[in-house]
Amino acid sequence: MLDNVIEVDGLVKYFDGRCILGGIDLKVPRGCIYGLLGRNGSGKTTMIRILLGLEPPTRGRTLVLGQDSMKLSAKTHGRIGYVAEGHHLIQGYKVQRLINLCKGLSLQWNDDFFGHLMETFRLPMDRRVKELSAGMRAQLNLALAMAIDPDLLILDDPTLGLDTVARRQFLELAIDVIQRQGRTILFSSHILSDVERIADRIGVLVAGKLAVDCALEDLKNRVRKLRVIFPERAPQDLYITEIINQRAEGREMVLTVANWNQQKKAILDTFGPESCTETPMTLEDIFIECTRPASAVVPQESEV
Amino acid sequence: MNARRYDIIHIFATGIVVMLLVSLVLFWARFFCQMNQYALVSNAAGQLQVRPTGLFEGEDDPNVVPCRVTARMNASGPLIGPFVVLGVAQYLQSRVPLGPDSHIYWWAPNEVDQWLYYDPSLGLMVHKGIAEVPQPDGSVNLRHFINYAGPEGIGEAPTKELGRFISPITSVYYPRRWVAYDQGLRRFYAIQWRDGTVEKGPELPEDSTCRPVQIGVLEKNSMCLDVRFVPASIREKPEDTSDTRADAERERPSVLTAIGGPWPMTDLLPVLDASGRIHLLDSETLEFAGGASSAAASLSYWDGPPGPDSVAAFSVSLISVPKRRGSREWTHAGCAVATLSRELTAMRLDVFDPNGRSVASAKTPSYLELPGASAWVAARFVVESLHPPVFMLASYFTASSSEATTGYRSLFLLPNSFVATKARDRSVGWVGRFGASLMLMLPAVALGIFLAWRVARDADRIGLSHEAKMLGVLGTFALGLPGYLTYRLTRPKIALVTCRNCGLGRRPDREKCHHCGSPWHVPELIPPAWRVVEEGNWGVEEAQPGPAVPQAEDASEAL
Amino acid sequence: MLALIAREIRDQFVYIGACCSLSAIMIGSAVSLYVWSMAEGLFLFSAVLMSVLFIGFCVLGASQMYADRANRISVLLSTMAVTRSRILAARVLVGALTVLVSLIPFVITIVVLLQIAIPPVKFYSRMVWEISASAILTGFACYCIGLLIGWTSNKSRLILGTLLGVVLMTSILVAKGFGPSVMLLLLLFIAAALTHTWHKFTSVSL
Repeated sequence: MLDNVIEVDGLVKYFDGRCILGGIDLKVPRGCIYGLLGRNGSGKTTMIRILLGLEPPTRGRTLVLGQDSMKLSAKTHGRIGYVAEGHHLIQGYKVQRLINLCKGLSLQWNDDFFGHLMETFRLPMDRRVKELSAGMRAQLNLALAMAIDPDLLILDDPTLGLDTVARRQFLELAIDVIQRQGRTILFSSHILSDVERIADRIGVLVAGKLAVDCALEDLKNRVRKLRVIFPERAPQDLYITEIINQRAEGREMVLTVANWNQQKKAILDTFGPESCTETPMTLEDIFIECTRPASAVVPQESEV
Repeated sequence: MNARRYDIIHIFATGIVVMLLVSLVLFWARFFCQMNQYALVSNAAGQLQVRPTGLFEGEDDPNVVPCRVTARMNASGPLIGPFVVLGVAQYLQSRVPLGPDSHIYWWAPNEVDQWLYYDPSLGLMVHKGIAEVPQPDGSVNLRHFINYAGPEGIGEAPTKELGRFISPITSVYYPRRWVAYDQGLRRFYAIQWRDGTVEKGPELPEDSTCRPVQIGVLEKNSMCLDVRFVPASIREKPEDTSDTRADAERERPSVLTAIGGPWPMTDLLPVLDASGRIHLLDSETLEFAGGASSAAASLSYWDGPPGPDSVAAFSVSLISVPKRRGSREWTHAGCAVATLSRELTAMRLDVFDPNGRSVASAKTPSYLELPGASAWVAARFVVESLHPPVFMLASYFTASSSEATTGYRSLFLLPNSFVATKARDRSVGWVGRFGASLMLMLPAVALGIFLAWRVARDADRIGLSHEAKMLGVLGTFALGLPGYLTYRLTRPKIALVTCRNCGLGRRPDREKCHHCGSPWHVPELIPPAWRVVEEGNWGVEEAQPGPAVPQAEDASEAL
Repeated sequence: MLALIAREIRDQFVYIGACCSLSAIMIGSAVSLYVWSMAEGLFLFSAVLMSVLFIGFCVLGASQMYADRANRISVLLSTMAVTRSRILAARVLVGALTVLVSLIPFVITIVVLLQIAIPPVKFYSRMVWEISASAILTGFACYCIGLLIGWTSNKSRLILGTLLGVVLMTSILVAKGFGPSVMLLLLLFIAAALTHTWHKFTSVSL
């Protein structure tokens, strides 16, 4: 039994001389619900496509269910359910024909579950895929991905185009899948409240690197937003490492720090702040702080 | 299969596809040039005439319009020559019933099941037909029959006693006495179906220089060349009356009664051997009566070893005269031989007497003397120079062994190229031939070197391994344009990234710059200085749960 | 695999149907020409229609690849229990079946007509076999040309490439005739073209 369903080792991807992923290392253990986050263009979809063998990596290695992504066997493909961003279904096919095709190509097909999904979504069977609304296409895509009882479910912005009710239905489905033993989910989404609700682990792509890769609760503990008031003007050089963001105005400084610990606190104390209060952050707040483009970052001198 | 072997297979596969497609384009470009050269010659100098023939007394009689022999290109239509020698035409010509490679010698399509053919599986000639069987009451019944003829006899069943032919060639079918030669058994045979007998001629010695290749009607690609004999005629004078004309007709010398044609009129059958000589075979005794002509004399006008394989087309007209005035028996009086060179740009006509001596000849002017010829020669040379150098070199070494018309079917080798023509030029020694051929190959070699240089430069630029670079360079040098195109199609398609260290383009799929060896730096992406990962933090001691900090319930409360 | 083949046949039904219809026209024409004692024109007529059929094969191959790229069919299929090799194998199998189903009945018709018109003798069966095999291989080679040039989004390049490819491939028969050497050359080309297509299809980004 594999411990890690997905292993990414030094993944680099260039498109036409432009670096998208600059060295990603990632392990997704079995049974984990991994939320992959990042801003538009950060490389989430690219990484997912590389994992599925749709795109070759420029450098590095990716293993899915123990096999190289570019050499996945048909059996391994059959154990992966995929909902693509944009829902790449064959537009000219009728819904029933598409279902028959997917059923014919699958290793296992859960007719009951699929029937239940189709009843829930109420999709018209005799209409062509291109005539469906974006939300209906998303539902169909989701149903097809889940009907094969996948060991690994990869969802790339699966709720894009879904209304609130449909989104809730999807979440419930996802929870249903989670409750089945041994299932692993990797999904990316821009609706962080959904991610926060179901994910175990979080990964955040920033500037081609996986800047965050830890459990959700761990992330909330380790990333702190502090509001510090100094007796006089806030100091220019605050010798604290891993500052995610820093904003100073007069005596007040708002500081977002990664891996907050005793050492950092001690350093802060040396500057003699009058007060230091923490602002609670949701996942969305943390994400915004981590991916803010004007972050005060310390340029690296060493090679990455 | 490892990646390297996989790539080599892909490169070879792509190379084969490119080579075939490029070769086809070049083939038709060459053919276009050759077709225009042929058109130029056939329009300007497509007919030769020999008059008088020198075969008969009385040809110089002022009252007689002497005999003449004419040879024409485009015998069956304009521009037929180049198309007749193409592969599909050659295949159909030879394979259709009655063709030289069909083994069908006679076929009566309007009658039921009348055939004469050679069955290679049996090694026997087979004659299927219908015989009329007269009945006592005067009526005639038709009976189907099958007879088999082998070297040892004729029978109604293919028994071993009949023997087995190995590789027969035959003359035109004559029901009474049909002559065949077996190249494996080295004998002539006269098969007489009506009598049910097979006569054998003497066995030719194994080291005999005579190796017959055709018997009876001697021709090759006669659709693009024919030769005709026109007999002499009484010269008409204004003062002639019908009586004087009648007297002249009665006193007709033999010159006026001679006839010519491809079909033998006498018992002497012409036999062409592989060296181009035409012998006369007595069909009664099955022994040679002497040489009728030496076709080799006309074939050596062009390049290459003499023989029917060195010319694109030839046609022979046998000239006969009656034994006596008014007789229906004929005597062999000589023959006329017309040949067309392998490039289809030169024609020669020779007349030979009954003893095989050449008595008259004519040839077309040099091709380059014709207006516009130089342009087509230059165009053809340019097209040939686009071929792979290695194929041009191979054409040099195979030039002497290639049949004349293979150049019109060959995609890769060039048997009719300037290089091959020089290779067949026996007027200079081998050093001179090879040196001249190398000069002719110079443009192709220069192109190969130029393209190989480009490949080397590109390979360095994109950081190909030394082995891959060498394969590309050598392949391009040897194979020229197709090799270069193959390289361009199979080289890795990579957008290079400027190396921060040396400023040159480096491959993003390599750990180090292939120019300066520096590791990666990605200037356009500046990753954050912090990390929140589970297994060891970046640059700092292992994270402990941070100290509790009072939380602000309301932002305004803090101040 | 059967599901892939069925999908391919259904998607390309128009082109497959056109090729089969053309084949039926050729068969009907051959019989008519024989019945009306115009057998001399049969060869030329067959050659012309055969050329059109070759264009049809090339268009089939090009259409399979073009439609895949345009509609991102393989993107969807690759995420199911299939590999790219199987997708391509199904595609090529359908192409091969189309070529065989279009040409073999015509060949059989010609053989039957020859049997009726010309009594059966062993020697010309070799010629019929060589011509038929060469024609079938040329048809398949034209199909492979279509596969090679079809993976593009440029329609004019597709059309020009199709026409040029078919003309070049068919001209092999004119240049070299029929027979073992041509068959070997065509087999080599087909193997090379399929290898190149397979390499390109399995390594390209979908």
